[in-house]
Amino acid sequence: MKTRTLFLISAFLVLASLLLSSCASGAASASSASGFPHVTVNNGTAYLSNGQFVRAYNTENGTQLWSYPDKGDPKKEFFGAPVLTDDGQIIVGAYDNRLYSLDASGKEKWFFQGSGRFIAAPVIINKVIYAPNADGKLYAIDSTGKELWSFTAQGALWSAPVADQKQTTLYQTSMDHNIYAIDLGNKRLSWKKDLGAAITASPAVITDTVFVGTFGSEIAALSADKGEIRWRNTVQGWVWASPVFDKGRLYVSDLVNDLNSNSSSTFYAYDAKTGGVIWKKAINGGIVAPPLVTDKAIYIGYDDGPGSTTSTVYAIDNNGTQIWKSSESIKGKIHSPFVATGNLLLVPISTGDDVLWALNIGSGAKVWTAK
Amino acid sequence: MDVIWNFLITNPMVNLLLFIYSIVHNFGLAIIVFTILIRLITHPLTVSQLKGTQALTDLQKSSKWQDIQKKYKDDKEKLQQEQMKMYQEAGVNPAASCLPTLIQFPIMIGLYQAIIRSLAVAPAQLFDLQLHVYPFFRGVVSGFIPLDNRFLWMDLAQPDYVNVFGIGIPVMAILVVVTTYMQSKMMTPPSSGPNDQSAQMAQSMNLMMPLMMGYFALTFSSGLALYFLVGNIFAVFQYAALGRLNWRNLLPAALLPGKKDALPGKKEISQNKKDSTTSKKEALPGNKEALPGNKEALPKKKASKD
Repeated sequence: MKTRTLFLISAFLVLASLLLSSCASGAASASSASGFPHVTVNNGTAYLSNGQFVRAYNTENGTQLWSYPDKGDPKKEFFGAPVLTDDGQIIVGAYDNRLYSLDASGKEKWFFQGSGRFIAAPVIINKVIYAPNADGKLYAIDSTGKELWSFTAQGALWSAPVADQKQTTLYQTSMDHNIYAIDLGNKRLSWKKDLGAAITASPAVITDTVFVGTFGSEIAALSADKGEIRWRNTVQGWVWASPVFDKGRLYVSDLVNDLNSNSSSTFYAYDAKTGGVIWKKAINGGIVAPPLVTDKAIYIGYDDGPGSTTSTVYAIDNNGTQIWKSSESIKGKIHSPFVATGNLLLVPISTGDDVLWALNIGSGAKVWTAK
Repeated sequence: MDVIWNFLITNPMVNLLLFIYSIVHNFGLAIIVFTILIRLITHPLTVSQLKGTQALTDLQKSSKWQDIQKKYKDDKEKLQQEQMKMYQEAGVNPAASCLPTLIQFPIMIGLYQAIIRSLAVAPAQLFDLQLHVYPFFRGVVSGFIPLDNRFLWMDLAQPDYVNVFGIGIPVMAILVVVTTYMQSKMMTPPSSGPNDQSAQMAQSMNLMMPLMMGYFALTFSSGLALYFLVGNIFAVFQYAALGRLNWRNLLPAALLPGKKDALPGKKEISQNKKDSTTSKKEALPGNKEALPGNKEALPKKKASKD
């Protein structure tokens, strides 16, 4: 009986361990964090950071050219968009707290060690790499991986910084509720503004105005030189996607979820000067990716409604009228920015079998997909 | 199934944790307060378990129980049958002491999910978190996310290790193992005898439980380890307040009060030895008595010869 009792108890404990492990893996685990894939295009090659790999694809047909690293590591995940330097390096940040430099064939050249995750893409200005980190620092690094200086914010940096047209000031949003304006000349803070809620998206920057969306369900326009509020609008849900400025208008979306994981959004077109709503469109799906605005259309993508595991890409005109929608439903979620290259629209996909879709930018027809 | 689980377990826990955080502004403290709240809510269950355990102990101390132990000591199957019969007659459930532990499991799983979701150290996790925040609470939550995951020396989202001379010491895992063992021992009712199966089960659990909890504390986030540790400490106070804490179980037998009584063996054994020696003499009183027949036997022999 003693043996039987011990066996039953042991079996129970093993089962409990398995149950806890499986339920734990079902929840997002902090030790292997997850993010949204991002793509960059240069000279006919698309560079996709997605999970444990950075991969290069031929944009003509989606053929994979190379993959880095050779073997995946759950602690080393890549989600920030790869960025290319003038001398052909591919700079990409990882969740193992390192910023990597790869050559054109995907071989590692150097890495820079930070204290936290590199979640967002860096930006390169005058051969200096400005890399935001979850440790709250914006690192300025040279092309060999050496730290030149850094700026420290009060909280994690999850968004890519954006420079003004003259590339003298860098605007960095932060999870600490602030937007920072950093003078690249004297390497000091010009101004900062507390907007009352976490900001996970990059700002939109034009000559004299900076536009920011926050988790406080707000869109704000600030003066670029002093950070003074020009206008401030309330929306319904959290603003995940970066606003986009085009021809006097600001395009932005919010996201509302119910407790059954069903998402809905509103897509807004604002007068950038006054903040007045020109039009808005209710969307029966969740918009997380920023729109891509070209001369021909505005491209947005979102899931296909409550309980859906597929998504669709839409092209709309600047009055919100649909021009086309993607010819097939895309298996997976659209959480990341699109990239236009030639006659293609590249769409990175989260949680799908195919991680990158190429659509005809004029019709929405599927051209190729890549795994 | 996910929807039901989220509705019943995950969402309430996430929101309660975030609510507590909004007050204390520290996630470690939020976990501590949360743990105490859960213990208080499940207190009636604990009381019910104690009553069941006490009834079991009383039954096992009864003379009727002792009788069947002696009667069927060589027939385990029959003994088990008689024991089950007595459980039924007395309305006692020997598995009742396991019920609070079983109830704790969905809470443990739910809390782990709530901790990981709440900490949200990357965009996709934050995206997932918002799916579990009650709509009326989102405005408040947007003001303090992302949460500060530091508490004392720990990153609550990661397993805990303290670097000592280059070696990572899992401090929280060790504390969890020790406190789980102590708690289990102090709450174990005394055994009624060598054939007391519930005591055997409890003894096995007292070994396996600390190891399992230590494994969880080692492998998963230190936030979960903190929950275990606080839960163990609170349970000790809980049982003490109910007068059910058996501190003696923690001490080795040699250190128990009333050593002489506790170890009747030495003096008594030697006394018993003397007694047995004496009785041996009595049993064999100078051979003459032990073999009383010798003299008598011999005459018979003579008689038989004649």
